[in-house]
Amino acid sequence: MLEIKNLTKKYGDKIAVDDLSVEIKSGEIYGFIGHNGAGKTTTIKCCCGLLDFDEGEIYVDGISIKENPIECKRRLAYLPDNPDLYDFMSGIKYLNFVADIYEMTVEDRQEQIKKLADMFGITQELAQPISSYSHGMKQKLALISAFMHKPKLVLLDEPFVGLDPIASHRMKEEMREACKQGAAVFFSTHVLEVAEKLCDKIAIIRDGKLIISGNTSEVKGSASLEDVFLQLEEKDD
Amino acid sequence: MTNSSMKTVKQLVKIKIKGAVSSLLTFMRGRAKKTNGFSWGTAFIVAIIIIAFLMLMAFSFGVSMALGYQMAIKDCLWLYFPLAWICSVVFSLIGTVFAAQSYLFESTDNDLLLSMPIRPSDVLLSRMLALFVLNFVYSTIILLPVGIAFQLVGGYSIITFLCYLITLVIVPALSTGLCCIFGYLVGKIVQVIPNKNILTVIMGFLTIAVVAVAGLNVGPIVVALMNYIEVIAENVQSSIVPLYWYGCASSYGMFRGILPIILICVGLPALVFRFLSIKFLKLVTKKTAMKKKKYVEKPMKKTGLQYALIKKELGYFFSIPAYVMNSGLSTIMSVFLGIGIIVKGDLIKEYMPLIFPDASSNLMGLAIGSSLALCCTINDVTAPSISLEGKTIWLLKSTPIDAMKIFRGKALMSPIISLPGIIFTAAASAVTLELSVADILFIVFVSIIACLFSGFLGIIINLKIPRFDWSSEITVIKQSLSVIVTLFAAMFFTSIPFVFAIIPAAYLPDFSSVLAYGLCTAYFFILVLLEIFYLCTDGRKTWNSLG
Repeated sequence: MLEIKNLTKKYGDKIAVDDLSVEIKSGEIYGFIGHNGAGKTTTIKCCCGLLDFDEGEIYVDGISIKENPIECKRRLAYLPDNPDLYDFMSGIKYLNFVADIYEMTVEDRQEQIKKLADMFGITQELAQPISSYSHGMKQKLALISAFMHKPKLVLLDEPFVGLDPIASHRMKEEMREACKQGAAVFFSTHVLEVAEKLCDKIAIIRDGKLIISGNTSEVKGSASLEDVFLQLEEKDD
Repeated sequence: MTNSSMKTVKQLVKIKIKGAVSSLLTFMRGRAKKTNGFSWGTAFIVAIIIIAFLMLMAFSFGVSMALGYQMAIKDCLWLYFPLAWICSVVFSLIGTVFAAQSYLFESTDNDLLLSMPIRPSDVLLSRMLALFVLNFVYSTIILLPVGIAFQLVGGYSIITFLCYLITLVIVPALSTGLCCIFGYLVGKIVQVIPNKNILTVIMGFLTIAVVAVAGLNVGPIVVALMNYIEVIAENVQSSIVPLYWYGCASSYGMFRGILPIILICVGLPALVFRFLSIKFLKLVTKKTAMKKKKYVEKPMKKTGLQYALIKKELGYFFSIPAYVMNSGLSTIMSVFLGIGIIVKGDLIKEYMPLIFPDASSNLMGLAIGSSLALCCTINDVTAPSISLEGKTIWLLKSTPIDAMKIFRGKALMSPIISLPGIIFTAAASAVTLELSVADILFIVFVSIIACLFSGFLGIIINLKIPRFDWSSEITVIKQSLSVIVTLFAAMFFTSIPFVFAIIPAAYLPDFSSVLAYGLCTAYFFILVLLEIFYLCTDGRKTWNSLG
């Protein structure tokens, strides 16, 4: 579903992502781990067409993001680490706007919004302007907008930040549900316990370079993911 | 006040002023930020600001000289400084009064400062002092030329010069006190009025209208002042005695006379400070209780992507009062143009043949069309629209929307906002000036296409010089280089065809107004096509590289 081939992204002289290759198949939840400034956000932004890149290729459902970005974007949903939304809209107007972008049918949007808003517990807040939302509520609204059009690929940057335990739990359920239906989820996180329990596969990145990737059980072996991550960090130091 | 308190206040004022100066210096920077050297954009803006300041100062100097001589002749020179005092207080109030509320109570660093070991009254004092500096700049624009003119009209003694220096300080002090009261009252009103945006827009437009009316009538006002100076002097002397004493002190050197006015000018802000410092903590931490709207599930509507984008742009536009006031001004001006046509229609009909005696056809349509198109191009609604995407730009860029649809959605805002003014003026022209159908069609069509032209131009310029590092939308709407460049460029390009069409239509016997209509329309049509071509190619690439 997502194929990153030899991705290199530079900011001036600084190499943010260095020859990174990762493949995420349908039905997989793929965790992306690394220290601050490792290149996780840059990679995800390149995957959703927010950032241009210098070398390599990215394919979404077999389509090149460079050559046909619109078709790729039709298939994916992206959620940044700090989702700034249109504060001047109400929650429901925002969701309707996103539904218009993805050309969802009236029945689909009504059904999905109801299901997801109930699930995240913000149905009663949908009439309020987004400017009055807390960080967590904005995150929930952004999550609804990401999942409601049933994307084939979900790219999430630190999705658990700001979510309460219940919402966090429900989001994990929604991620699994999406994968059951054939979607792929690629997300970055610092919460290693979550990654360990939730992800089918894991990639660890350091200074833009992929250190290790593979099935979660293979990557962590008999140790905890935290131990593995710390060992790899120390080894490279 | 303790020594450490003073240090804190000094530091806070420094930060506030540094912030204002840095915002002033960086507002024109888009991509030029990367270059540390000379920037033409910076030079352009600085030149415009300096010219505007110099023009205001020259005007103040001219009026001061004219009135000063009259006062000297009519033996009422004492009125010179009180009049200047009133004018400078009003002028600086116009400049600062609307910023006062957000400046004092809505700063983004409220939480940070209040969590530190700083007294709330020190925070307030620092903000009032920063406002004082702002008022000082405004009042000096008036008072500096006034002071120079007085030397030429009456001449200074040591005491009168001392009084003048005191005036330079007490005027901004009084303005600060007054604008703080206003800021407090606005905050109170906003708490009880449900839609504060409407209130802000109405108040803004009223202020603009008052300033515009005063500006247009400044000549008659000065003449009236000169004619009735003795009567005014008599009335002030008998009814506003402290002003008379102040006048005697500053013009004739009777120093004690300035003391009451010092007391008023310093006492008022001191009292305001005392009052606000008691309430400051409550004011900055109070959250206005918003009436919670109950969500009722309604059948949703599916709309086309283009329509959704236009709706989104218009929603953003109407949610920011400063955006409406800045970019919606052209609609108000167009309506005023229509009203002017209704009121002065006969005069226009009478004067047009006198201005263009050799014209072979009626130039009324061309004249109205050009005026309306110029009015519409002042609508620079798209010029800050790319920058305004700010931190939400990921939304449009990560979703399957072609860049051209985004540009179209933004550009169409321009004719949509201007349409009420265009229709009103066209209708007023049709009824009052008895124009033909061709004339009316031209007026409407050329204005709409001129709006589209300026709309696309704003996007192109904003793509070239975007600014995403803003903390308040107002900085982008009012102070970005793209807005200023778009405004001037749009007016320049819009005036070209009319100048070149009116001249031959007025003087060449075979040049009909219909031909002029065709040429003007074709000109804008070609420009719009060129703009679309640019946006489809380079514009799209630039958009993709943003963020």
